[in-house]
Amino acid sequence: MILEINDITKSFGAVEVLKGVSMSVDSAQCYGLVGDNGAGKSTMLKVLSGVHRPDSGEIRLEGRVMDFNAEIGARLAGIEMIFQDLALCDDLDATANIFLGRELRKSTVGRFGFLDHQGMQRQTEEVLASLGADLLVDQRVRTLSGGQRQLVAVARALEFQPKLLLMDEPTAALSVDKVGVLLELIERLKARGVAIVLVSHRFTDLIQVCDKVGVLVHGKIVDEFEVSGHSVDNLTTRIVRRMSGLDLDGEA
Amino acid sequence: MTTQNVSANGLAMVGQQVSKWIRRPLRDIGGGLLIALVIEIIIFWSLSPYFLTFNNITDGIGRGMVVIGIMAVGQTIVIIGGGFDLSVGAVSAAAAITAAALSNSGAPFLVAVLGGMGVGLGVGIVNGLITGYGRINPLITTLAMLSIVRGLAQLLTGNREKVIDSRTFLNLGINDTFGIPNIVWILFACFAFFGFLIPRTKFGRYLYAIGSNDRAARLAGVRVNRWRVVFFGVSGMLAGLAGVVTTVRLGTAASNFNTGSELAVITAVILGGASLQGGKGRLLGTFFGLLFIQILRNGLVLLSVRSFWQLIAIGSSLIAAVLYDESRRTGLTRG
Repeated sequence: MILEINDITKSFGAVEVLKGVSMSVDSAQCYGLVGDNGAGKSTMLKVLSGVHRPDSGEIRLEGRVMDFNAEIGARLAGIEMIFQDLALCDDLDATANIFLGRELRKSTVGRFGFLDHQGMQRQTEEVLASLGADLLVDQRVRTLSGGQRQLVAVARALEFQPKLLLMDEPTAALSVDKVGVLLELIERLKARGVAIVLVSHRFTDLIQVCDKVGVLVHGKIVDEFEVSGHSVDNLTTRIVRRMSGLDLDGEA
Repeated sequence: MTTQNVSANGLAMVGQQVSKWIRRPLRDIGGGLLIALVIEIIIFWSLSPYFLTFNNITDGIGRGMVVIGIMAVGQTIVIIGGGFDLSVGAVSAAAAITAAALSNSGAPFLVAVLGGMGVGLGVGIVNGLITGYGRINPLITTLAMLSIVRGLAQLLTGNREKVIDSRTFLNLGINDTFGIPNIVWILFACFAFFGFLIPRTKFGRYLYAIGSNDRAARLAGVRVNRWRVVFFGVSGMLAGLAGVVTTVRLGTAASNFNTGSELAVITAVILGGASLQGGKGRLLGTFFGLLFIQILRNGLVLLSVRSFWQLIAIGSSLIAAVLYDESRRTGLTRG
């Protein structure tokens, strides 16, 4: 098991956002997290990516207990995140965004060294080509379309070969054909052994690529099920009923 | 592939690279400033026969822009990083007094210079700590620091000038190298050093990243607050150096040195294409902005225009530059 989460809680002031969330994700598996706005999905991902520290509970990555006190800690441990707002620096180009915080340097003397612009550009071209992105690596992100920006964020997450990839609404700004490319990419990543936690409001996308789905309601996972062997309609109905507080027979 | 083809391809690539080096800075600086600069030079040239003489270029323009220029290098760094430093003039006065006091007490020249720069660095670090870790608006922080530092400088000197005894100090302000005043070389060195450093190091990369989107930089693992301390520290240190250079030029140090210089410094930086929103700007642009301001001041002096017109002209340039920046950022003006 790549990721195990046990009884995670997180409050902001008096508001208890996560009330004991437990879940697990295996390697080469995609776990879909669904829930209404305010259910705690994004907070859960931020806890996993080191943005927020949980109040209690345990996160294990490949069996080791993790205690991230900064975002970079999670990234160094092999957890990458694609944020809902993409978290890109608009005045930097694609290359600078992808390598931000982990720049390649030529020869280094201790902590000093000049940036290896050519090396970073070459690797950026490679990772963007693997995504089918047609954009210039030295083009400022501000000038890119919504879909291209999303691809830069995806490329940033993939560049460092993550063990666990967290995706918060990754298809939100993509056109239909780019959504197809992204879902295909998720399949390819799974084939490479990468574990993925995917948050999306598009149930059909989610069901298409996820192996397991968890329904989060008011900070608790109220239902969790395997996707295989069920029709999209059945699964969608089940998710909607659970999110509405109904049981599987439609009773409140 | 023939040798001719290879060399033709090579030439094309070099051409593309050179074109990129020219196009990018021009795009960032904005053609408007360069055109304004040319018009300004033509106007003063036609009105004053002394304007384009070697002496006026090296002394009137060159020497005259050193102090503001050194502070503008630091200010460019802070503004690109999304900050603002109003304390540079006051810091330069405190640094000047420190350097003069050290020099007059018998300290070697280098110790006096480093002492002055150290005072600037210290104030800059405090500015960075308050704005970064304290999350106080840089405008408020550095405005308060301006008052505190200027007040302390007056308190420590009893509002009296300190006359410099050291010949080394005074010679630096007088002597030339290759026909160019030594203090102008100091200004060029500041531009060259940071102009070299910014595109090649993490310092420069994080400068633009934090100015562009500090949250994104933080999420990427950049220690944003720590870097803010560095940016303000550099600005303070350069303001300190500017104070030492003021002392070198005038042979004295006083607590009222460079009062109001913030206006010219910030105008030069904004004219040069740096955005008050952060994330944008170039030292090359600041250099042209500085040139514009200094030529304006020098030209008005040559034409015997009364000094308060200089303030009006610089203030108007700042408003024009900010309006230009805003229109470039948001596109056409909306109603």
